[in-house]
Amino acid sequence: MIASRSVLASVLVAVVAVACGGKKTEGDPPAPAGAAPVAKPSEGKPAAPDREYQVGWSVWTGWMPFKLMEAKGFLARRAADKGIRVKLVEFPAYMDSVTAFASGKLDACAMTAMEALQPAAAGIDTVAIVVNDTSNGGDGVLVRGIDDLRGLKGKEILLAELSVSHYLLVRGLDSVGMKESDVKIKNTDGDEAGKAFVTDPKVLAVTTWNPHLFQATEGGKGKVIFSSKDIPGEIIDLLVANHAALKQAPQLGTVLTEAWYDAMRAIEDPATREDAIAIMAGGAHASVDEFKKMMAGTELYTNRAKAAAFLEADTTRATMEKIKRFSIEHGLVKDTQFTIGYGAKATEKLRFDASYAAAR
Amino acid sequence: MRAQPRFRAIIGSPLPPATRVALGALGVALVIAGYGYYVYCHRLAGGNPRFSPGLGQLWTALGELTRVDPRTGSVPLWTDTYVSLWIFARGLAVGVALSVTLGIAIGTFATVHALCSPIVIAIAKIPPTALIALFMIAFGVTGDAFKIALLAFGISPTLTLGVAMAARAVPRNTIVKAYSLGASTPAVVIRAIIPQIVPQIIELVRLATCPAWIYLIAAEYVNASEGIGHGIVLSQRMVQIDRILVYVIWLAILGAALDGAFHLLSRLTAPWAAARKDD
Repeated sequence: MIASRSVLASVLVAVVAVACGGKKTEGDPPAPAGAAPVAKPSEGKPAAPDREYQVGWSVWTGWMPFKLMEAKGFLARRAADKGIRVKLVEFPAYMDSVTAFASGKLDACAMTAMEALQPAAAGIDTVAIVVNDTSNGGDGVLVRGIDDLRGLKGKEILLAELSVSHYLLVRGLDSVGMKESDVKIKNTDGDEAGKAFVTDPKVLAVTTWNPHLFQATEGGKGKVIFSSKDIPGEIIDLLVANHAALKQAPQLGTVLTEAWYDAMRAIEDPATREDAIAIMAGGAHASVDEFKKMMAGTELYTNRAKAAAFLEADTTRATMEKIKRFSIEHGLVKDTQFTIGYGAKATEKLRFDASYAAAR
Repeated sequence: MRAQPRFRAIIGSPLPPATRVALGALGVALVIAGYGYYVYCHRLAGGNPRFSPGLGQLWTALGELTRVDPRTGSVPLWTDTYVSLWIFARGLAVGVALSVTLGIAIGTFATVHALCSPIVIAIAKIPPTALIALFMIAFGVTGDAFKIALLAFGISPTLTLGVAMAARAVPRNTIVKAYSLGASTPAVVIRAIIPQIVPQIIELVRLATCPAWIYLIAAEYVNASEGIGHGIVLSQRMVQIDRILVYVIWLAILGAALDGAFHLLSRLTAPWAAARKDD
């Protein structure tokens, strides 16, 4: 007993000593001379505007222009013009970039319209300023030994749950009057699902994207029974910005939008097109031929006027209602009264603002 | 003043049970207090409460996870736990069977040692998670096979080396004595070596459960329709930090319970080992 008590006592003494020590130094005036050189360099700097704005993106066909923006210096030039510093951050895992944006660690991020609901639902003022592309056959339900969507009944299907792949499947099942519970969903990252379909003949159905879709169909390993071509304009890729950052640096939205359309012009202009595609293919670790096929499944909004019109179009609003309903039904968005705003004056947590794309 | 001799606390002196429990509780309280302090700082800095859930939020999340989900018709936390534990048990069983057999062979026979020891040492250096893609190709993604294989492969090399070391450490005297009493080589292994190293094997398996969880969760991250790893992935996708924390706390509780079970097993199968420690 005595032994244990003395140990306990010494622990307590140590704790108290540490606690007191901590307090004491807090109250002390800062030590002179060499002890606190840290304080000096931060003095007299206007902290808020002079910071680097971080923009997250991940590898996806419709987002490869970000690579172009960086490689060709479009972003650096536009940012220098407006006197701000902007840095692109490439994320190896897409969902990590969404989480980073949702927790306020990124000022802007490329994500689908579906994921854009999540930071908004988490309380981030999210503004969609650029529509990058809509999927046009680039996402699809890939099967072997199954004829059509009805043939999926009771089958196991690999896909990334609660992603646009999931949404695509549900829209497909909907179109033939089936329910999600008619199939067995196994959560697998879309790339992994695509690879598994090719390597494992026991995998009968996956929802994935390109290049897996055309690789499997060209190799005669499977066929696509439903794709984003069947729901045109519903799988939307956006560049969204945190409204707090846009307010702090109003030029940020302009810089990002202008640099994006610099990249679009480089892709459209026959003189620079091949070079642009080569850069983007390199970034996607694909060959130029493969990347061209991937681009065929993606409707890139190179036309600025069309892109601006799309952001606030009635069809877009109707699509967003469908995506919102899916998100609420699947627990992605808890607030059943969640609303989406349109236009520069909207105040909803998620809003589509075409003014950046419209301005020249 | 004092008639009694004074006792000094030295390294290794046991604590009375009450003190031990109190100190254990203090440890838990310190971690909770530390988290509370983090939450407090995060909120004070204007952080979003969604990313620093307090106890109330965790309680709500626990409630959500232990209610029947109308979409699947099952209780997420229990289904996930059951699925994960079932894969865990099979993976652990395969891994332990492999490594104990091979480990004893390596530790006992010089030829097996010379043959296997270098390659096992080399394989033990491979992070199994680097092989996930290969395992998916080899074992398929439609069943649990690839998860079981990953788990078994993950724990086996280190476990094998541990068992081999334990077998090699059996005193030469014991082996010579057994032979001189007329035992055959198989009898020496089964009756002299194995019984001696059972408590070490149990201890090694207990330590192997930690990496085993990692591989299980990693495998479930990749591909699953149920399981704790799957639950964490989905919570991540929904940016529900509170749910992730509930799963993490639940993992800690499960792990601690498993640890206790192994201690109990050790005491039941080899009570002499516990006594030996105090020699």
